[in-house]
Amino acid sequence: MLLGGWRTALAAGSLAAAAVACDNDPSRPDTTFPQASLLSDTTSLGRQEGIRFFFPGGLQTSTALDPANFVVTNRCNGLRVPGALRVGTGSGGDTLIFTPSQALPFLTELGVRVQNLQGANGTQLSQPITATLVTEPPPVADASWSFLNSPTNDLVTGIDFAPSGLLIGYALTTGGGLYRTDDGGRTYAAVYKNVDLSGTAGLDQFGTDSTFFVGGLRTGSTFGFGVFRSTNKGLTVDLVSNTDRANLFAAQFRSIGGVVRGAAGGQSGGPRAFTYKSSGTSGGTMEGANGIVADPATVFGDIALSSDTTKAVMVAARNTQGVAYRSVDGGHNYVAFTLPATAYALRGTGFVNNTTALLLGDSSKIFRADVTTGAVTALGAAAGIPQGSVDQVTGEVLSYTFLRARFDATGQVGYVVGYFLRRRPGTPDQLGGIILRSTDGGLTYTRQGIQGAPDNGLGFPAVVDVKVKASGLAALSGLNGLMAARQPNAPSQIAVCSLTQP
Amino acid sequence: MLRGAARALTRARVALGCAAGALPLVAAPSMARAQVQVVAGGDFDIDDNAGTVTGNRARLVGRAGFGTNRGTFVLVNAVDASQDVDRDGFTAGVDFTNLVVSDTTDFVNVADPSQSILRRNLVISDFLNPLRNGFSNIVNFYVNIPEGTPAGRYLGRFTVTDPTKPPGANPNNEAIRTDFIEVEIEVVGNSQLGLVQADAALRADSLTLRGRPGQTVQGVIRVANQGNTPLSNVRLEVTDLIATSGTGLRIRPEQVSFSPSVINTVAFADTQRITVTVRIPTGILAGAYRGELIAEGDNVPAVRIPITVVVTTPGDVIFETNPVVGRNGENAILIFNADPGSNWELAIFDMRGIVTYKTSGTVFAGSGAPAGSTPGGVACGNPSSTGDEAVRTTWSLQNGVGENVAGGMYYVIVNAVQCGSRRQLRGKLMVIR
Repeated sequence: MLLGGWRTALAAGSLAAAAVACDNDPSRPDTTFPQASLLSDTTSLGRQEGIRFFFPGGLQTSTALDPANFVVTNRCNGLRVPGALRVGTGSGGDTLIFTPSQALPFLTELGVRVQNLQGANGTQLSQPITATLVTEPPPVADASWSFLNSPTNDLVTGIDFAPSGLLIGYALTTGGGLYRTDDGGRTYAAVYKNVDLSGTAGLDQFGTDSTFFVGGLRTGSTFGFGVFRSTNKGLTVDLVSNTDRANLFAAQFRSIGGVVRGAAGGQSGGPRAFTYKSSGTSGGTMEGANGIVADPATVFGDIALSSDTTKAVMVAARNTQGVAYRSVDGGHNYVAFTLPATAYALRGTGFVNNTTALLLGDSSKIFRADVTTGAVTALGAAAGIPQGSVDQVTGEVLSYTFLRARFDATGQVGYVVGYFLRRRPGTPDQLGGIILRSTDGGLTYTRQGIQGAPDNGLGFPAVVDVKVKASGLAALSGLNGLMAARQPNAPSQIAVCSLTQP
Repeated sequence: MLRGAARALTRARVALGCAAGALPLVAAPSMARAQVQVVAGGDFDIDDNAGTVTGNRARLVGRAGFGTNRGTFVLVNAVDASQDVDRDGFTAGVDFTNLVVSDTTDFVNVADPSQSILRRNLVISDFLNPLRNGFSNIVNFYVNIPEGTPAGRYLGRFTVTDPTKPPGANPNNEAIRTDFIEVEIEVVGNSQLGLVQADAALRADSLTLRGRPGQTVQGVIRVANQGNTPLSNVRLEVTDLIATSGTGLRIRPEQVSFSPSVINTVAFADTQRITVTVRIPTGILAGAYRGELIAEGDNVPAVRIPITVVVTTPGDVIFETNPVVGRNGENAILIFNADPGSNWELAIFDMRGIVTYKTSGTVFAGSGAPAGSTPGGVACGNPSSTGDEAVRTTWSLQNGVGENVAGGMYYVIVNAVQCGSRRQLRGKLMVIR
């Protein structure tokens, strides 16, 4: 009978007509559900930060605290995110807060759906509220470097690859060990070792077979520094020019027209600099440079040679103050830069192009120097250079020191490397490496990490050398056998959903 | 090596008429030392008890897919008897500059000789040369353990020689200018469970089944042993499958079964198929029901992937509770299917046919379906739809002017669009006062 009555009712007319014909004409309530607003940052939500919606006028807590009504889905894996719900009551309304039970991975995309709520005025949420949020990026979102399979735990003072092919490369340790790879750095073979050779640094590779570096060779009871060369894949190394006059700590070699020229620097009664020119199979010649003040209190830092070999820069430190020299005749004669008072001890250098060099040092100092005119410009935090800090509460001191800069042939893409030192009273010092990348000729920088390193890619040893090849490949080396490379096509930013571990 | 000392010891035992092992060990060094001698062409040794080598054996530990920890052995080129660690000979003034690892065996699993780590995985990470007379070289080495190497102990050896100074024999007929160490590798166990697609060697990131209400649907997924130890007691579980449209409807885990329910063992590098059967309840509304499929095993972290059951064929109006007890403050929850973005109207009649309550709305459209796509949501064959396919609305058991309605039977009529077609849905609701 009920069914019959229903059909009778339907037969009486359409649904709308029935409603119109009714004496007690029902209508929807005048009040409407409050317009909610999302209070959370949609692009950089904390990894365990609450997701907050504000509802003016308030909510019925029975619906607000129903977990089924606040659905958070991890769109990276499709799974629902467990969490806790609470309602914060204020004068103007209620704030509904969802807090994940555990920290989410960085850059996780979250889909949020709030549904079936009832307002304090009895109104009903007619349509779900949806939002998309992304958790914060890691401190350094560019971890485009990858570790190479280092063959040693020694300090790797130099690393290089052939300009083309990216397969054949060499690595040099401070103990005089030369390693070679022919598979792009996946494996390195030990190719040369002489127990009388040490203090080796300044590796540069030309072609697939030739390498140049500086170091010290003990011959009997004498110990002489010089330029060393291997032209047969590292099977043998020849001392092609021995100055016997000064310790050599750094060098940069360039090859133009088949002639390798270099600038080498070291210490002997003050900082010293030399030029090197190869001479076929007979070795080559070294000449001492002029114009550098013989001050024993000044300690050599680094030396660099422009790609056209016409200019050179040498940096040093006198106590806590920086010292720098420039040469416009290929390193034969130097004149001092006039540095600002804030140029603390300088430790490294490198050319951006044939006229501009970077002077690098303690306390986050990076200066752009015009080698032709001697003009020096300081770069700071605005250029993306991380700055040291002192925590007055804990006494922790964080400082950055840069040791080397290298740029590609275009002078646009390059890297500055070095180390940071975190010193906190009562705990051991923490020494780690730092990589800065520039894509605008050294004007601004972005910090980079190494995939797989602790601390979200930032926990790797100090970096002492970096190379950039024409193909875009970059490689670096440093303490504790550190060797890493960055492929030319490496993505510069970590994509959303690319991190899976909290 | 200690071979020279051992042989000397044996000879001494024979000469003294001692039973084996009866000779005091303290006598061995002096007796062995008496055998040291200058040999022609020089000799080098690997110290049997230096670096990480103990008793001529280096013990390394590592995980499959990674290298072992670093081992260290010490090459010694003795200039006199005091440096001759193996007591088999020395020569002053002979350097070794061409030492190589000349012979390496595969590292064979002790428990299962059919399994081995190939010799090419040995990595000598420091220089052997030059080994100057009177000096020693400390050499680091490790072994790369290929991914998928079963857990266990592996044993092998490598030998160092100098091709330019071939091995020879000392007057005691002991080999000189060649030495070896044994390497024992413990590959630690790593239990790891994975879910793999049924018909492809690809990771399964979700499982989707489709069916009508009342139908039983099945899907297959494989559990994979991605570690290097056997997995035991592997099983699947499922959470509630909850409607994505926010209706609160769900398919309970009791409606889902697995065959086999438990897999006793999944062998190393093996997979096992599990059939997932879902009995879709009758009367449930169309839409996507999503939950988590959980793979578990003993001593292995659980793996979770989404499981979705797409229920096709839209249904009529259903009620969360029926009857509804008004005196308890309950509300009537009405749920019905409607296409994403479509408009709907609902009216509730009393037994006299008088409209007691009416309302209307628009179904949550989501991000919208592409132009020209099939009308409706996922249940209607439009997989790209992100909108809702059902509406959940509440009737507070009051009429349009806010008065509580009387107890009795009420008729619910809904006009809605389902899979592109407008339909009138009907239901009866009992209100108890």
